[in-house]
Amino acid sequence: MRSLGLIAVTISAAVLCAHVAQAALFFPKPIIGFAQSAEARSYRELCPGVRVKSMSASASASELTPRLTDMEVRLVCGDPSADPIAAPWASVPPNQAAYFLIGFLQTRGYHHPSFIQDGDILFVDPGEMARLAHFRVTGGPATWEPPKRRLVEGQPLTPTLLDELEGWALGQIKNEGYACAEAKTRADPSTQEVEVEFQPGGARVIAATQDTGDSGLREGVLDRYNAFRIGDLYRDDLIALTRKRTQDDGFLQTYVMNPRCGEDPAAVTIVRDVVLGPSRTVRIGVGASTDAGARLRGLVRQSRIGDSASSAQARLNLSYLNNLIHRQIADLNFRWFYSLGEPRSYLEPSLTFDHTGEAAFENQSLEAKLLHGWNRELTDGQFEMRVGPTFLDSKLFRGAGPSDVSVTFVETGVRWASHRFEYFATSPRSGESLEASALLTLKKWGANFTAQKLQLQGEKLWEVFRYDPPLFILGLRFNFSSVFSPGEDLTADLPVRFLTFLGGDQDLRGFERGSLPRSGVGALSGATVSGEARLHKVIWRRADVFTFLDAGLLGGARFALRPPYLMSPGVGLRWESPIGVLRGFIAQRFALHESAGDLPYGRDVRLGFTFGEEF
Amino acid sequence: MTSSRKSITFRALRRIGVAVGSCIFILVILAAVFFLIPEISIGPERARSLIARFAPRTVQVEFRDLSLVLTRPSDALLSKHIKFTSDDLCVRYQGEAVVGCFDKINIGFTAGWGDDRHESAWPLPHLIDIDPMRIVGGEVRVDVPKFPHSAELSRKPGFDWMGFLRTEVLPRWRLKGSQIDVRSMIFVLDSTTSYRARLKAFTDEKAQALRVQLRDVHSSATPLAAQAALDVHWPTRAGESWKLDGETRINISHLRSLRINASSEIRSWQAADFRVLISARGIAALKEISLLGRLEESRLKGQLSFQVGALGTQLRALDVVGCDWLLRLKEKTGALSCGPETIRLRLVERAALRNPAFFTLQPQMKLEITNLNFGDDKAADIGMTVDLVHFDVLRAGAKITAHLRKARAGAWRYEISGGLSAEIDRFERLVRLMRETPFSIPAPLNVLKGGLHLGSEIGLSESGGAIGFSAATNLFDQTANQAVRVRLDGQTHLIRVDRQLRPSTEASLWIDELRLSAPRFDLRVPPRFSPDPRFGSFAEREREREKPRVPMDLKITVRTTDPHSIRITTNLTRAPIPIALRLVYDGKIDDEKTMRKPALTGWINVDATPIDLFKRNATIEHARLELLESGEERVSANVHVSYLDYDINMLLSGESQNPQIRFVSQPPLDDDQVVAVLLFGRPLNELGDEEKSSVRNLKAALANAALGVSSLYLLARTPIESIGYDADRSVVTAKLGLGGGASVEVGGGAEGSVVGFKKRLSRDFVFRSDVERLGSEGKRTVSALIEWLHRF
Repeated sequence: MRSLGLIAVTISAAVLCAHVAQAALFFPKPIIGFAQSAEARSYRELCPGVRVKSMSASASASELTPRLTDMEVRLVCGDPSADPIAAPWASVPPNQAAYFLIGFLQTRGYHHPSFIQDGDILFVDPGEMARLAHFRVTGGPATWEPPKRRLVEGQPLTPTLLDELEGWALGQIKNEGYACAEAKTRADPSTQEVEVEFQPGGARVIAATQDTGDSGLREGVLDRYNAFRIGDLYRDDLIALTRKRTQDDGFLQTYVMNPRCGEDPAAVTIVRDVVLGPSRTVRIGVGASTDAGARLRGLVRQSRIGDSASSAQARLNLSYLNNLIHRQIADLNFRWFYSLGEPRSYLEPSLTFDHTGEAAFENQSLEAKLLHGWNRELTDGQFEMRVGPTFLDSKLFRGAGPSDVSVTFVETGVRWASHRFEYFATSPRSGESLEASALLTLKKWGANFTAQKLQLQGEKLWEVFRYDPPLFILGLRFNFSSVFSPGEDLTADLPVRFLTFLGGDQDLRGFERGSLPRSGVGALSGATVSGEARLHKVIWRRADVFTFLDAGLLGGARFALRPPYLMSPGVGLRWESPIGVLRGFIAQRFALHESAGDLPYGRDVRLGFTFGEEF
Repeated sequence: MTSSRKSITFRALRRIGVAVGSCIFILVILAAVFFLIPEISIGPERARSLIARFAPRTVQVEFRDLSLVLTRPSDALLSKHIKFTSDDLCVRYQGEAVVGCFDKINIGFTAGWGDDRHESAWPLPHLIDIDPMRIVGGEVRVDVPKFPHSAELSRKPGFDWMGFLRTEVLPRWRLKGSQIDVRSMIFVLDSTTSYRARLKAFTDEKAQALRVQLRDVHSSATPLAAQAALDVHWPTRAGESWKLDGETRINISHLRSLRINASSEIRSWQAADFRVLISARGIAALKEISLLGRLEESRLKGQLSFQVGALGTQLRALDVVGCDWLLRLKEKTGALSCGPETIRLRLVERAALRNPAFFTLQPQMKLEITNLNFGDDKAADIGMTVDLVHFDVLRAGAKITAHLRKARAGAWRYEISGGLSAEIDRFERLVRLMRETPFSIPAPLNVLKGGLHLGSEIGLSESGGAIGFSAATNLFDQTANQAVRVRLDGQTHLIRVDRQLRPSTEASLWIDELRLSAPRFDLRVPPRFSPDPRFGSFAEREREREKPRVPMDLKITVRTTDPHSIRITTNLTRAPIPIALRLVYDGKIDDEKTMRKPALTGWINVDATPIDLFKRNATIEHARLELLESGEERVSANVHVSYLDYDINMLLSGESQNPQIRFVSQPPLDDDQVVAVLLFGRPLNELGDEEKSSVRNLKAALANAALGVSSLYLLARTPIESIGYDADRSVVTAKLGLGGGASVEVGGGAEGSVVGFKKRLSRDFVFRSDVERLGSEGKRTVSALIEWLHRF
């Protein structure tokens, strides 16, 4: 009956048959003359027939805790409406009101109400609110232990909380391959315990995908976004990641993926249901940070072009901090997927206009690329490779370097990002990424110099202890870049794109953005290492506290890094606010092993604030 | 040879005859000497010698002094008066199993021939008279564990000591002057349990009575303490009766005690009156038992009354006054009869009631036990009729007959048959009576009047049987908008399986007419009517799971007799919802540990119902829910909405948890157009951007199964300005056209996943946090923006 969903049939039949019958069998405790007792004075009138015990002697009916909805009040106090439908419900006897109140109070965490009846008056003492004290998960696979759930202890023990905990527990075990696990939740309000008991079934691998309905997409197009491979162990987070990829990309409007548990106990089929929605997306956004200042972003994207569902987009990014630091980027690109299967291969021509003002320079560039890329999904992450020719026309308005340079080079890069890194990208907690890239020029082959810029950067995050949400997160990131050229000092010829500037939120947080090297001449080599330790949601269960240490080195020649060591330790607060992640930090800057003859870096403090940016 | 043989035979016979004759002669001489010698005295030394020679080995006797004197009464030649006196006598039986030591014993009696009162005066000698007895300063200890196994009491019939005591000793005992004082009587049952008491009996000359007192009764294992006293008044002149007055107080614990008062007047061994009054405290629900009786010849008859206190949670007291009973001792048969006005039943009052007498039931009850046989073969025929008219509200009656039989070596056999009926012909009066009590009739039934009838037929025996039951209601309200007319008919069969009776119940409920109003419902905040079964004590659940269950079968069929038998009036539809159904509940407990999951199968049909949907008059053409044996619930429904230019049907089908929703229109429109017409009454091309987006969002939510039918109904019933859909959370946000910018969230889904950070501010504005690559260098950044988003 409960799932009938047939409009009033469910409601009416359930109300009239089951609950009325049960209400008739519920008896409040009768105490004759209780209404005249001193104790009765601590009860406040909800309506003439119902009084609720109040902690505050001055509480009015509208301030009674817990508060009831209008419909609940009608069911407890009787329906005073003149509507003929309401007439049979005008008088609700105390025993029935008490029975209804048991359910109503339970939804608010009150499990031990007591009811006293004196004549036709019902006295209700909601009792103490039960709060979760112990939570445990049982019945899972023998060798598996779920992470310890944080930040639920002390919450009111309500049916909603049970739903949430059951959903969380199911999510955990479904991330271990148990796609068709079932769970049964029970709670003991007296001991304030909650137990989720699994019936996990067996671990299953993804045997196939199955599309329902006709999306109009060519077969295999949707697979481009898969974060899993056929034959992989089922994991719920990979399904969510797949869906996220399609939607972040603006590829489609709604993508429903459900595991279907067939007769094979070791296999699961992913059933996909798509609502394509319009293929064009316009996004206009604003933001801010202390590093980049105010930000404006506009984007127009056309998805699902042609049979292969290629895409094109135009993007405009503007940021302004002050007269020196500002940036305007406009780019156009078209990603043509010429192959539907693995690896996912595409050709991507793009045109980018970039006007960048930093403390050390002001540069304007126009860049045209034709990249060929392919990516492949592996069990734990995604591997991507891009390579192609790039034409760059760069003009320098301020700072050291060539004022106008045009160069053609080969740009290439490989990147590995684990699924967990991608999954938690906007709230980092675990996973790793590694990226190696190179810009390759050859004199007389579109450039008047020979130089190869090599860059290696990566990030690794660890969850220390097994908690969910995590309690303690350690992070490490590094970046190394250097320009390699056979025996020439090319600083004066290289465009800004080939040089290294440090400082700011991205690497050395104690130093101003792009303020290193102090000479304003970009370095040929640079390296940074940052470590961060973060305690998650430890302040009022909402905010994080973190500490970090950034270190960097610069070098004026290829593969040569020289002291001083640029140091930047700091502490900060992070809050996952309803509107995004806010981070504020204070960092000190200083240098070690400074040369005696150089101007000392000294010690200073920098305050930073970011919105949305993460470690 | 022959003559010599004859001579030898003759000589042998002659010698045997001489020997027998000599013996008889000697015996006669000895008897003559025994009866003629006036006194024979045996002293302690001779007694020790005789005991050592003749006493069984299991008996040991020690004494300081002992004297046995046999004297011839002056008036009787063939009798002897025997007087036994002893000081410090100890008798041991079976080692230390029974030990009796007494300071002084003085017993005397006369035996022989010559008592005219004795029916069998000849040929056996018998007791003629017993002197007042004097046993002083004794201690008796019976230690059951010390009895050797071979000494266990034999169940073979032996000498009838009780009969001898009753017929030979008591009538000839001259009580006057008797004195018995046993300081300590100890009865050891086992290593932990023993009882100790003091027995004292003496004659009270003034009261002309023998007073027997059992004092200081204590148990080593329990706080039992008891005192008993019995006064035996002997007749002071001829024709007077013996009178017995006894009182016993037993404290079983400090909360449980028993007091027994008994008196009897014994005119002869075949004629006596007696009265027993037992008052109990803390012993089950028993309060008092009163038993009056008279023995005439071998007929024992009298009256039985008793009071029982609180039994269970509902019964406060049960009084039974003056049931007649009869026992025929020789035939070992009897009868019990409780006539009208003998029974009063008081129920527990639950809070103030306008008329508290409502809780006192005085049924007219007649109980008769006839053909009672309590001999080796036991039997009883019991007949009981009960009639109850209570407050002109309840009329109830019951008639039960039972035949109980038990053969000497067999088990009890019984046959019970009867019928019960109850009728409430003024339901509204019952409602009024129950008001202000915790038994109040709940809404909306408390506006009904009319009557209802309950009945039951019983036929049981030790091998099983059947209990039939039926009920019918004819309830309605003044406006005739509410009515409950249902009939219940069923039977419970009791089938013997091994040593247990397994109940198997099959019942049918016919709903002829069920018209009721549902409470005014607010779909936006549906309340939880009943407690969530997931909450409960773990320990109690564990106990419940361990509790053995009685194997049983239960099958209940509920069906309507007409397609419109059920009509539910609700604010959600424009007219009452006509419902027909046929549901079968099949529950079975196979054994004490395993219970098959009850199956509910059948169907529920909703017939054409006009409703307001999408600001139009719509009709639920039909709706049907099928509950299949596989446990699957399938739903099918057709909702018709009519427009000037279009007829749209909304079709629901599939599993009830996740039904498929399809739209069919005439003339044909695609789904976008249908949703546009339903939501805003116009085709898609006439809608503004926001309305178009709402159409798509609703369609996406339907495709994503984010909207249940009830949520869709809520949206269809309410003027909608716009609909937003958050696929991450499977939540549909509808801005209602009720003014004030009210919005409502419907649908399910987990709380925001950490995969992406997106907070929807309005239909088009979101806070978004995502990863992007910026600039020509493609530097990866994570940023948050307040973003306007539009798809087209």
